[in-house]
Amino acid sequence: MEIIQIIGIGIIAAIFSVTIKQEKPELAVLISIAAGILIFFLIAERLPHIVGVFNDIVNKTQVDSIFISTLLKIIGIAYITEFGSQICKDMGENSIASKIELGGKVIIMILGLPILTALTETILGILP
Amino acid sequence: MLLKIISNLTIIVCCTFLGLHMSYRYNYRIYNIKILQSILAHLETEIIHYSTFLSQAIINSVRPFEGEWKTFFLKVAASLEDNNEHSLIDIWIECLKGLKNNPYIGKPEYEIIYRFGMQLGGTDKKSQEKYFKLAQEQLKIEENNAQQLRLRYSKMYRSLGLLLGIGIAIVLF
Amino acid sequence: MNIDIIFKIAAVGILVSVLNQVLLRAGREEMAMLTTLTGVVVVLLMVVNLINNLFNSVKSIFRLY
Repeated sequence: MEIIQIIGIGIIAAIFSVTIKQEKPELAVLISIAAGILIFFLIAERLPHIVGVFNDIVNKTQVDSIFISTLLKIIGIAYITEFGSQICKDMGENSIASKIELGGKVIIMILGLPILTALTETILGILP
Repeated sequence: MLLKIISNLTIIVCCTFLGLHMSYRYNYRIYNIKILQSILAHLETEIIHYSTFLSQAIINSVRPFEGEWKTFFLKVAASLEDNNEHSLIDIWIECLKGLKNNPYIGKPEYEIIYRFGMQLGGTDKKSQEKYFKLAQEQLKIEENNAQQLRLRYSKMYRSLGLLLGIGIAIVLF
Repeated sequence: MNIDIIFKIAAVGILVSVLNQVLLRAGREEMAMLTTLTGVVVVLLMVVNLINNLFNSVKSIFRLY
């Protein structure tokens, strides 16, 4: 049962974070970073199964595999961006957090462009 | 696991003792200054009132005491006895060199004794008495300074050693 | 991956704050500042390793090469 481990890590990290926050806020943020990463590693063992299932579905339906890989990349980038910007927000640096989100959005946009062009070509092909 | 715990405990104990040693230095410096004051008082009596030879006066006045200054004064007396070629000032400087980096002796009292040695035996009784008084006063001031330093830092070093040991142990664990 | 690192960071944090108190009481503000900095850097070194691991695994799971 990973969920119990995840809840345990979260509660312990929260208690430590609250304890330290009065004296050293910068170390409290580092505790929350470490807790977030540890929780991610706990679920990271299960994630490849989901990716595998996605790939199976794509192979069966014979959609172009570039779409599904782009989708996965976008999910990954969104996760990391969210992680980073949330940490910056925890430290009270909202402007840096929004810059990180902007960077993530632009890169997702660039990754999404081939899908967009494929879509336009399909639509143009349908149109007489 | 057991080895790790044992080695970490060793680190903590070693750092604690290091901190205790550092804080002990302040106590021992005050002790040395007090001993030095008593030695100078005895020496003054020997020189001013009994007019003994300097080497004998030093040996007599140092006898009841302990510590770093005793070894210094005994060294001076021994050199005075068996080496007639050198003057008192040369011997004094030569013997003081051994105390220069001693952790239990502060720089100020080292310099007070240096200056004191420069004029010892150079003038008549009256000014000798004056110089003794001057050295005693300066030592009194240094004792007060050392007392304040001890109040400030002795406790700090004691806890600093333990905390640093725990810190190293945690980081290495 | 184990939870040791959270305990470690918390211990370092508590230790650094106690050290800070001791040094401040002895009137050594600059040393207190330095200990704070050292604590943050040491913890950061531990966490940076973790972050590197996180990014590598995200990269390999989502095929973000």
